[in-house]
Amino acid sequence: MGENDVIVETRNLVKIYGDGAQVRALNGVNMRVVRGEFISVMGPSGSGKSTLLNMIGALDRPTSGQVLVNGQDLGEVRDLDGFRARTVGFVFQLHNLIPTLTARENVEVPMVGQPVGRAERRRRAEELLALVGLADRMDHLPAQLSGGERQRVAIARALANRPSLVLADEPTGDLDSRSGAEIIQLMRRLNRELGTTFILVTHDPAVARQTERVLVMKDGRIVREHHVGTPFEEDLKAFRDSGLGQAILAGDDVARDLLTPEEYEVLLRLLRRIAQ
Amino acid sequence: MILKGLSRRKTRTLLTLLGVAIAVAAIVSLGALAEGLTIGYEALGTGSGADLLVADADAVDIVFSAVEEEVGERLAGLPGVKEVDRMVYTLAATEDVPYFIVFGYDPDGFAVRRFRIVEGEGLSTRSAPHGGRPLLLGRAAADDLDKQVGDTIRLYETTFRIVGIYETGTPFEDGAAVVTVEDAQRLSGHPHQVNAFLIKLRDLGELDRVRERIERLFPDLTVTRSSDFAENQETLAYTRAFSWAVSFLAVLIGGVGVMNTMLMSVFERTREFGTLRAVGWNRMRVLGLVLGESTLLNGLGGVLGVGLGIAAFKAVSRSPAVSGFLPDTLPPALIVQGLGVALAVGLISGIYPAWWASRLPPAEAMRYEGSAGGRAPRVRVGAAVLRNLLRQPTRSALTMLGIGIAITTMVGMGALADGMIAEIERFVGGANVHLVGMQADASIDLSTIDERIVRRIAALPGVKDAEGFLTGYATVGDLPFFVVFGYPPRGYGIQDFTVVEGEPLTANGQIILGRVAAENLNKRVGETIRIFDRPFRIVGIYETGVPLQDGGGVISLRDAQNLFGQPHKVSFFSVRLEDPEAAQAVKASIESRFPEVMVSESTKFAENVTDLQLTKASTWAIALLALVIGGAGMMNTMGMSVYERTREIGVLRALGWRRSRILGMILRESLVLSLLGGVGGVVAALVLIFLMNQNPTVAGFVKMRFSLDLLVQTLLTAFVLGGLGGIYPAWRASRLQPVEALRYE
Ligand SMILES: Nc1ncnc2c1ncn2[C@@H]1O[C@H](COP(=O)(O)OP(=O)(O)OP(=O)(O)O)[C@@H](O)[C@H]1O
Ligand SMILES: [Mg+2]
Repeated sequence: MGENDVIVETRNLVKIYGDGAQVRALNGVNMRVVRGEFISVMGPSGSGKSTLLNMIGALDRPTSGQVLVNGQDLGEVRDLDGFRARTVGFVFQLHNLIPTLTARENVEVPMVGQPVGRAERRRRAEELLALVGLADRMDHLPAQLSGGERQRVAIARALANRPSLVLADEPTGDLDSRSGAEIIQLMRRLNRELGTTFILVTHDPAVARQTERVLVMKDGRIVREHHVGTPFEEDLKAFRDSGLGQAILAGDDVARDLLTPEEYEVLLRLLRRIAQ
Repeated sequence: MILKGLSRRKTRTLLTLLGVAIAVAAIVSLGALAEGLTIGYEALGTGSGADLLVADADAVDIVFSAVEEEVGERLAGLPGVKEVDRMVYTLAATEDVPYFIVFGYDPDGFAVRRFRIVEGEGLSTRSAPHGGRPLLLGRAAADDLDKQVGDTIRLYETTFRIVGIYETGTPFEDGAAVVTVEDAQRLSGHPHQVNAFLIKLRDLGELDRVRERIERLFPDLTVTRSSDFAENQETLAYTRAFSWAVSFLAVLIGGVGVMNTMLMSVFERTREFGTLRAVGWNRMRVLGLVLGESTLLNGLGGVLGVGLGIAAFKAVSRSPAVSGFLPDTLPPALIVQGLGVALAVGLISGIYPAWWASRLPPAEAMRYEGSAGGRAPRVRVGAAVLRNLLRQPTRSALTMLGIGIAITTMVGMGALADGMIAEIERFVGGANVHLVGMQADASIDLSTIDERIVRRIAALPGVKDAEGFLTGYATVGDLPFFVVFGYPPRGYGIQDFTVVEGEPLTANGQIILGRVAAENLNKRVGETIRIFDRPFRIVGIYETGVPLQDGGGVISLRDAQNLFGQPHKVSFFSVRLEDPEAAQAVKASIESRFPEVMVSESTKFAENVTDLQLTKASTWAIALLALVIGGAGMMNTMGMSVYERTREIGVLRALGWRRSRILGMILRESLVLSLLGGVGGVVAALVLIFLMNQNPTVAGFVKMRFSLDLLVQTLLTAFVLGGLGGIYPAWRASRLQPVEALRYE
């Protein structure tokens, strides 16, 4: 893995919000992402996931530390707007399409202000929408699209300027599990076909499991890193062997008291799968 | 709870407050003007100590009234009459003050006694110490003009010596001067006439009998109880109507703004209203809540407006040019009125939003997504700008309405001023005339010049001929402003009045009538018409195409001089040159020889006349008022629009849009909105102008003119309005931090 293959690197990244009651949203984050990777970031609410993504995407500046994208220190980039337009694409959780613009126009938005002609803009938007499977929805307004379709438009939009990096903050957070899975599959396909690097923030283990690597954050730090496939399963096995895991498998009252019926169901299913 | 509702959107609330406040300030300050005039006229009547006031029946205003002096002696001889005083009331230009009020009173009469001398002495000392014509100066005028007893003061071209300073307690008088009747007559150009006679009776019980007797003896005079005098002045009625019209307009635009704010605020809180209904509030309480907010908003605006009005009043009172027309202190009734109007507007413009909120079905309201993304448009046509404006059609429509009304006002007022100016230029200039002249510094209605001067001008080298003519107003039949023109029957000026029926004017005692006047008065060739109770035989009907002329009549110059009591005087004169190229040189030579005369090239007349400039300035001031209120609405709307789209703007920034692009997007929206409003306003104004020009009374006086210039000016203004109204919100939008904007709920 040569230096050139690292697309994102953070060095001792710290972000402090507020003047009085200060919040250390990021408390020294060091990470590296290799070009073409498809990774996810997990962690409890408030652990700093969105903040980290915002720093990488140059939406905000860190209090201290460095972010390097394509080997370039963002602290030294003058034209951050241009950087965002050309190098990164964003996908947000919800309400992120401009309601007055059609699907195609929404995809064109990032190309406005870039040296792309009108006709070329249009052609590219149509091509991208076709790529995400919305060839027949080009002229629909966001309100006329389903949640999953809207998110696909957002993905097409994120790819508009052929970025090398796409940052997605809970892209499936507002979707049911089926459309969520479809969105992830779409991103995975694009990652393979276009070679675009993806960093997803998610709460959903099912989503995280489809990525190559999971960074787990807590209190503004990266506390664990899983290479999906082995470690995740191992975690589960460790849990199965714990008292609570045993209790769940045994259908013990203790498990039913401590867990909600849904949690119980989910954990039971997972543990049974491991057991097989 | 009401207060909290309003304080949620501080900028919006403030801007709305501002709109209402300016409207209320207009009510207060314009009301003060009307009030000041009323007080002044009341002082002339009631304050004079007289029981009865005798003036011209047909004069529009006491300043135009001219009664023959001999009448005074006959009045004094009537049974029941104790004393008769003469009164002259005129306006003269003095240092820096174009309309300085000058009274002429009998030095030994009862009426002048009211002018309490606080310094120096009274008028009765015939000739002033150090010589010069004696003059009493009001305290306020003395302070404003920085004059003391013993100083001299120039009124037009005449120098007076200040012999005393007086106080009456009425600003109208304290900002004026008193001279002898004879001097005042000379100033006004009516040597043997007075504006009114003031009569003191032996016994008040005889009042009605004396009054009837005078009116029988002098049918062309009107006798009013001095206490009724002010009410009978048409000027007052016009000033009041004007102040009401402007205030109404301001309130209208302000009201549209309040309605807009309340509607927006109600739309945004749809879910909340659902919750309130769900927890058991009934419709009436919701209605009351919204109405309460709207009324409170306006009440605050009203208070602010009264403050602004008082400040404006204080500031303006300092200027000597207007202080005479304003009351001493702001009448409390006006303050109450201003606040009352504000509250009423609050109530009225709150009704629709309140009703809307109270009618919301609770269950649906609770599911409401909020106006930002929820009410997604179904329109796909048009540019992105239009689609953004269509997100909140009601708001955009109301904003456009506000701007539209402002622009309509601007165009209407502009067309009126341009029309008046064009007309006066045309009737003063006429065909083939190179120079026109009037009394220097005088008001156009009061300009008088000695005939002899005109004759001497005619003899100057380079001048082919010069001719003077007289104009005056009279009430004839139902026409309050019938303009009488006096021309020499054999001169060149009268040739402009093309006779289309009957014969041209040849002798005294004849009149030719304008086509419009003939129709309005329903008169035909051969009939007689009475002006100031003198009969004139109609020999012809003319048409010139100039409304002021077509709505009036022409008599011989001699007749006009007699009629208006100005022997050997003319109002204006025109000059024809041997060589038109020499206009500048001749103008200079006339003005250096006759300083009391102002000459201008006939095409530049309006530019040089103070009156017309004032008319223009005041129409612009009104237009500006309307625009400021409209602009506040504009800023409000764009501010809201940016606010609602905070997240969206965050997304655009995240996608790499530059600040400048965001700024441009919002500015474009605001420009389109104001231009649409502007175009609507222009169309409305065109309709208005068309209708006004169809109306015989208005059209007989002035034809409103809509010029390309005006159109360009207006649209430019709308553009600037859009720019100014949009620039702050656009700037705010462009400053939004992407992360903050994205986090925004
Ligand atoms: N603009 C801000 N001002 C103040 N505090 C902030 C700001 N943005 C984030 N924070 C705080 O920083 C911490 C990290 O926030 P962040 O949004 O990164 O969490 P997250 O991991 O994305 O959480 P979630 O899963 O709920 O989205 C939180 O405690 C949050 O309250
Ligand atoms: Mg987050």
